[in-house]
Amino acid sequence: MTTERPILLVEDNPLDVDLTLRAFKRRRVTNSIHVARDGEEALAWLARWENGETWPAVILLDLKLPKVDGLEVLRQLKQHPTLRVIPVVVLTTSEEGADVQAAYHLGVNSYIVKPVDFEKFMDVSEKIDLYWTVVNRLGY
Amino acid sequence: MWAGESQFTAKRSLPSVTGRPLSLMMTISLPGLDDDDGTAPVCLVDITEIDRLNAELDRSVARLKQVNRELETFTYSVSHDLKAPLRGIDGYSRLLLAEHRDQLDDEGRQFLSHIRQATQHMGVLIDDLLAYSRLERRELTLTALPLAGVVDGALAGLRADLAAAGVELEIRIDPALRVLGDGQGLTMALRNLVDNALKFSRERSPPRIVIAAGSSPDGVQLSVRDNGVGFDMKFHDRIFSIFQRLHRAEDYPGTGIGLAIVRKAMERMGGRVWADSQPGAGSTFTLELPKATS
Repeated sequence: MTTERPILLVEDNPLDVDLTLRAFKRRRVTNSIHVARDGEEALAWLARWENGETWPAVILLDLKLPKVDGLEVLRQLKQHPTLRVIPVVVLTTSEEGADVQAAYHLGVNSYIVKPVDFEKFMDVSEKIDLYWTVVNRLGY
Repeated sequence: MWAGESQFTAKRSLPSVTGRPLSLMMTISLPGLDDDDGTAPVCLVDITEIDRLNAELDRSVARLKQVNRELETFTYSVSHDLKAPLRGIDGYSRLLLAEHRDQLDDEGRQFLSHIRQATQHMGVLIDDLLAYSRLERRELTLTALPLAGVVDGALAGLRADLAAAGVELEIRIDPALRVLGDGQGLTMALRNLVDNALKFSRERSPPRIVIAAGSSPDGVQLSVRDNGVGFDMKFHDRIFSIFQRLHRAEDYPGTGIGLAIVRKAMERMGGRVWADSQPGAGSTFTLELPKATS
C-alpha cells in the first residue's frame, strides 16, 4: 500500500478550520491535513510541491479568501504545467451560479456547497475523503 | 437641406446674453415643390429647461440603478456571510451534545437541541432569502417551454417526499402545450407551489395533489390543487408577500418566502399567480403565462 497523501485545506475562518478537522476526526479520516489560511499561503505550497514535497491527494478550497481569492488560487494552480493534475474540490458557502460556472471554467474537479448542518457537513467530509483519497485514482 | 425635404430640425447650445448657455431647437419647414412661394417658416424654441430636466432624469435613473445594484449585492453578501457563524453555532452545539453529553442534565440537553432547531430554521431562512435575491438578479431567458416537461423536471426532486407522504398525485397536461417563459423561474415557482400543497395537505388521508393545465383567453393556465387545510380568501394578497405567514411555526414550518418567490418569478416572466381557497376545503394556486406561438 502506498503512503497516505495529505489533504490541503484552504480556509480562512478559524472556526471552519476547527470544525472541518473535527468532522474529519469524528469520521475517522486518517490522512494528515495541512491548512492554508489565505490565498497567499495556498499559493506558497506550489513552490514547495515543485521542490519535492509530497503532493496532496486533494485540495479543499474555499472561495472567499483574504489577500488572493479562491478563484485566483484555482486559476494559478490549473495553469501550472505540472501541478495542474492535483484534484481541487471547491468547498464553499456560495451557491451562486456565477461562482460555480467560473470554478468549472477554471478547471475545478468538483464543487461542493458547505452545509450549515454539522451532521450533513460530517457526511460531506467523509464522502470527500473516501472518494478523493481512497476511490479516486490519481494521475501522479 | 434641399428642396423637397419638408422639415429640418437642429439643436444648438449657444452662449446667451445672460451668460447662461441656452439650448435652442430650430425647425425650418419647407414648402412642397409644387407650391413653392419662396418662403420657409423658421421656428425657434428655447429647450434649455427641457434639456436640464432630461439630464436630471438621466442622473436619477443612473443613481437608482446604482442603489439597486448595491442593495442586491448587500442582500446577497449579508445572507452569505451569515451562514458561516451559523455553521459554528450548529457545529459546536452538536459537538457539545456528542462529546460532553454526560456532563449535561436533561434540561441542558434540551436547551442544546433548541439551539440547533433555531439554527436550522435560520439556515433555511437564509437559503430562501438567497433564492429570492438570486431570482431578482438573474438574467431572464424567455423561450417556448413544453409545459409537461417543465412540470416533470420540477417534480423530480420532490417525488421522494411526495411518495413518503403517501400523496395521490395526478397530472393532467396536454403534451403539446407550450408557454413562453423562463425555464428556471417557472421550475422554481412550481416547486414552491407543490411544496406548499404537500405541506398543507400532509394530514389528509390520503393527501391529493392535482396539477392541471389548459388554455385561457390570456395564455396558458397551470394550476396546483390540494385537498389540504386551505385558507380564508381575505388573506389572499397577504400570503404572496414576503415573510407573511398564516400559521404558527409549530403547526406548519416555513419562512414565509416561498409564495413571494412564486409571485416574483411570475412577475418577472410577465405572468401572474393567484389562489382560490376556503378554510378546510383545500387550495388551488394558478399560474398564468403567455402561450408560445412558435
